[in-house]
Amino acid sequence: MEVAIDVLAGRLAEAWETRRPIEPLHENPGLADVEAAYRIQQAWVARRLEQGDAVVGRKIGLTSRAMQEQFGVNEPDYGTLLESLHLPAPSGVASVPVGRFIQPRAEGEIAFLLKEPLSGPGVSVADVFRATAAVAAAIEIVDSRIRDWRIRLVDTVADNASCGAFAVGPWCSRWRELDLALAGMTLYVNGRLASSGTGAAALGHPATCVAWLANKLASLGQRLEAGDVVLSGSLGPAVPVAAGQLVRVEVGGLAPVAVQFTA
Amino acid sequence: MTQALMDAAAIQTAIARCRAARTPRGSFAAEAPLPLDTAYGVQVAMAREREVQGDAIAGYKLGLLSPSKQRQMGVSEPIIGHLHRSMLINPGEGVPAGRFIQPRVEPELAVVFARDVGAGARRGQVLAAIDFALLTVDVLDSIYAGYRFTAGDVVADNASGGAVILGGRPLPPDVLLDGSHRLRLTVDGQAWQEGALADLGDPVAWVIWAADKAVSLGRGLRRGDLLLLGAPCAAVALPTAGAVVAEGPLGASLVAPIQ
Repeated sequence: MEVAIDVLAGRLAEAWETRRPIEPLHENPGLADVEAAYRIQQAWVARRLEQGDAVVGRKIGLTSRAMQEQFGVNEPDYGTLLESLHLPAPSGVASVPVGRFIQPRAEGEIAFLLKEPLSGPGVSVADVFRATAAVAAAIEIVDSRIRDWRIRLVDTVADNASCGAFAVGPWCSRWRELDLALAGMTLYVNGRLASSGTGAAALGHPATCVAWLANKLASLGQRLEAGDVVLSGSLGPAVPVAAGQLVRVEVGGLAPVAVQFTA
Repeated sequence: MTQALMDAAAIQTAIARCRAARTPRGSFAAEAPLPLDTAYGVQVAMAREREVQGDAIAGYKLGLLSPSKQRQMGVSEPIIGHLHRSMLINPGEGVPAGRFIQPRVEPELAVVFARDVGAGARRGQVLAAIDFALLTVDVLDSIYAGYRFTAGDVVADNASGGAVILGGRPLPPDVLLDGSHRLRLTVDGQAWQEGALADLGDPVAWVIWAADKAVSLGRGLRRGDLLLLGAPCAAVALPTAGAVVAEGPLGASLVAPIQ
């Protein structure tokens, strides 16, 4: 049965606009395979671009063993970072009304800034290291347009890998002095430790995630571009957030980043 | 002439068959002389075939760097082998032990190039062309039973190239200039080998040699290529379970699970 890609992309777009969640897409017959879900994501992105938005990079999801087991998959997924999802963080602090989201959660990650394109197949971490201009601590606000986060793999892939918004701390160009697998991540909510992990939580090394993405995109005839920002995957459990909370993420060796959630 | 070409093709077919069946064999050189030129011809032909099948060349590896190993094998220079993209194992990925015939592992420093290095490069040019160094583990996998081979045999067999486990931290190129840096390998928490970079001779001279050799093999050392600079210690058999751990300069380390 042919799945109506545009219809489902339209439903997601409406959920974005109205902030009213929709029922899981996996309940639609014929939406069993992930390729159809990526086509929905692409259709949703295309709508945004028509409205004047721009692609600024990608995010990688499902990079932890725990998440992959939960979703019954053995590889990550990815979403598209749009200009409209970027929360500027002057001096490392961003601010956003919580009402912009449906059911937001915060994650601590390492962001990569590319200075050269990465074109698969066969991209390795050596290529990622060569192509990386800088890295930064980042906060991804994940959000689901699916009611109560009742998502399966196809739901989150279609829903832009559940991306809500993102903030990136000051870029560090001397990142080569760090072993990103050993970098510790701590996420505080109003000063209280709420989530933590290390770079190795993401497939063993954040750069391995970026290499995976470049190779995955190649299988779809796409590549990572110079100037792209890549969120390489959450390094600890996602934490629900509410108005009045300040979420601060520190990654060892990098400047911190924070997001203030306002009413 | 025709005879030599036929020999090369026959050797290529025999090697491919060994790899596909994961069965070791005896030395070719024990049956008939296998000159290095012929052996490199076999190696390059096999690399081209892999390339055509979509497995691009990712760089090169050096072997037989020490004068004592060279004497033992009856050669007066190191040997070089091709690395392909499918041979590279990223941090966090497992080492697929079942994919190999008789794998052995050894710790090596590698360098990654920011630009092409042509033949006849000078030291300064080489150092300027290196983007970064990387701690790696070379997974050797000879087709010759018990690793009993001549120089011609091992060259034809792509310098025993099996796979390369990549470290997770780019190191400054000047680690190559300090021979006191040590590389250490631990397998399954037990057997270990260790050696100093100084035991490998002058790494910059080896890069220059590799650049010349890569040009003579028809491709050259290119931007983005990875070059493995040889192990300062003996190789250890890869067990079927456990982990491979390597430690290197500036606190660099690498841990890879065996699958």
